[in-house]
Amino acid sequence: MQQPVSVWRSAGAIAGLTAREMLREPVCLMLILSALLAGLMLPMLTAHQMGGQARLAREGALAFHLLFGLLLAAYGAQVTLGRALVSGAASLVVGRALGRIGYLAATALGILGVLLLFSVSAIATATLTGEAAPQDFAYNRLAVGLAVGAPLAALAGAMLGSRLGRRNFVADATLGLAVSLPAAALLATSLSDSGEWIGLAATCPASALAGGLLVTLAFLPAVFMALALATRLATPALIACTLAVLAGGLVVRPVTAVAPPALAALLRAALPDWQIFWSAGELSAGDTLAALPAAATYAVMLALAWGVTGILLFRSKTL
Amino acid sequence: MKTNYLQELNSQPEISTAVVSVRNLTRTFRDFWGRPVSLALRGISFEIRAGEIFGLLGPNGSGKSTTLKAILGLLRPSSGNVQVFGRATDDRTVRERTGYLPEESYLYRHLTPRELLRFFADLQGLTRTTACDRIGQLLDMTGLTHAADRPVSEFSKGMARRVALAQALLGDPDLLLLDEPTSGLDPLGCRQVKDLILTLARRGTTVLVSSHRMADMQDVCDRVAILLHGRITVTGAVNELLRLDHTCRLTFPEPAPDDLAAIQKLIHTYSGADAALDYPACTLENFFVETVVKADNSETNPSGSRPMAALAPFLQGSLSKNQQ
Repeated sequence: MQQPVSVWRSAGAIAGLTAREMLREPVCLMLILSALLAGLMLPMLTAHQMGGQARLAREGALAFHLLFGLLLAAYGAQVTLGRALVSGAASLVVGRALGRIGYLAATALGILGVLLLFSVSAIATATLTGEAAPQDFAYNRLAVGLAVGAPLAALAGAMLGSRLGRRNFVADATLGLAVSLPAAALLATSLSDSGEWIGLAATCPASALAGGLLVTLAFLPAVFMALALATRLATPALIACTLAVLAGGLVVRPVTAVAPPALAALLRAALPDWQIFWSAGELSAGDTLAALPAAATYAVMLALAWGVTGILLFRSKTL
Repeated sequence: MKTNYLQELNSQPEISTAVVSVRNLTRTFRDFWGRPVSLALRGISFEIRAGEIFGLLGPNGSGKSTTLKAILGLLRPSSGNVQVFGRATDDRTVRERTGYLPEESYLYRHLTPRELLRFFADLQGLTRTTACDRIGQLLDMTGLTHAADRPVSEFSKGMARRVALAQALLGDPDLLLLDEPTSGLDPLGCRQVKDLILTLARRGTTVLVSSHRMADMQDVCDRVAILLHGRITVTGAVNELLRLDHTCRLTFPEPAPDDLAAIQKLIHTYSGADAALDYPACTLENFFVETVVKADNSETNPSGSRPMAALAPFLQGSLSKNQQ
């Protein structure tokens, strides 16, 4: 009846539960929708005919991807670990098959799963919004139609599921966006303006994909940072800290360039350099994949540092 | 399973039948800089014997929850030690044999009761078939089968409490730690939880209850300890602590007024003191429960919680084994 409890089974159960809690949290859907809809509206917002609208729209969508992804990581950590600490659920889980370190790692895995899903939608949004951006005063009507239709289809599907099958609207909408937007992006890059097939993802720019991957890598340390902070901070303080780290990390490179060497070293050690994940300009210049290995190494190092910090903070936390 | 662990404890003379043994337990909480903030427990000692229902009473901040957490191995004592089943609290087998009901009922707000129980079944290593059987039985027992696929966040506090209670019983624990088990429950639910605790203790489960509700504790506990400012001020068997010295009560059908006066006069003659006359009444809880049960027999309430049913069969199985 009762088997020896498998560590992997327990870790899978905790990661799955974390992802499910996040997917069903209305505020998480609100953050995801905000990022995606803001990205999809960029063709209309950047309609000044100064040239390079497609690139501007893609970079804007990537910026929303990074900003809202970090917020989602912070809020996700609060919704899962923070709430479990307050409700006592963490005390029921820790010490069974997994200790505190395993619990923290499994929770991080669950949040990363949801962020990966968000990244799929956000990368598709960046591609789609680039396709929909006006060129010579003319919009790609097919791409615009797909950009409007894809989120609506996801929301309508979730609404139908909720009405007819009593399914969870929030989770279905989030999952629906991760399906409908990539499908729309694939169609928009495979068909011409007039709807003719021109080849699978023929117009899909590699730079948008690589830029999206870079931003996705930034979520790895962001999740561990958010979890470390969630062991001690309530939601408003956690969000404020995340935004401060985001802002600090974006300006750390120019600030350290002019700061005295000791202060520069301190700033580099204390703040993550988000610019490493933000090489959209270089990517547009054609250097698509060269930045990925260095960014991945940096992301893993940062994640380890925040992970160790999180473990130290969580170990001394009274459950 | 129950008989095995009791036999195991009783067959080893060097191990006492104390399931929980707390010795000189002290716990100091410190701030970020390591400065002591509060002395939550000040050298408390007590034992809980196998099959006993032990109550921890005390005002807010007296150290009840800290004691429970120390027994669960969730916080380390500043000094002293805690043993459960003769082992250290961080021993994994101890945790596997312990069920815990925390004070907060809304554990994972977006999960349904079925999903939540499934999650805890996975953590406890129950096979899929066993987990499905037990989850179904516990949902029946707690009267939540009709709401098994609604998220817990939509539940009333009492319904959420039942889900949390089902979670504590899922692993068929040998030791059950209950923090405010009747909090948020209506009188009928309270009565059913108290009956459940008594039934579980009869089959050999050791139960530690922490509560503010004195009437509930009086109804179920064999022994209690009263905590105040981190110290145990009183400990003992409930019926001994509550008994009024040199007083007894005789209950019989109401006699005629003349006969009653004669009886009082007779008592005065024998004892030299006046006999106090009162008319026994049932408790308001009993009256309420009877009224609700009568009303419930005639109609159902599909949206709210339904009365708890009989003990889950997987828990009854152990009861009959124990009685054999």
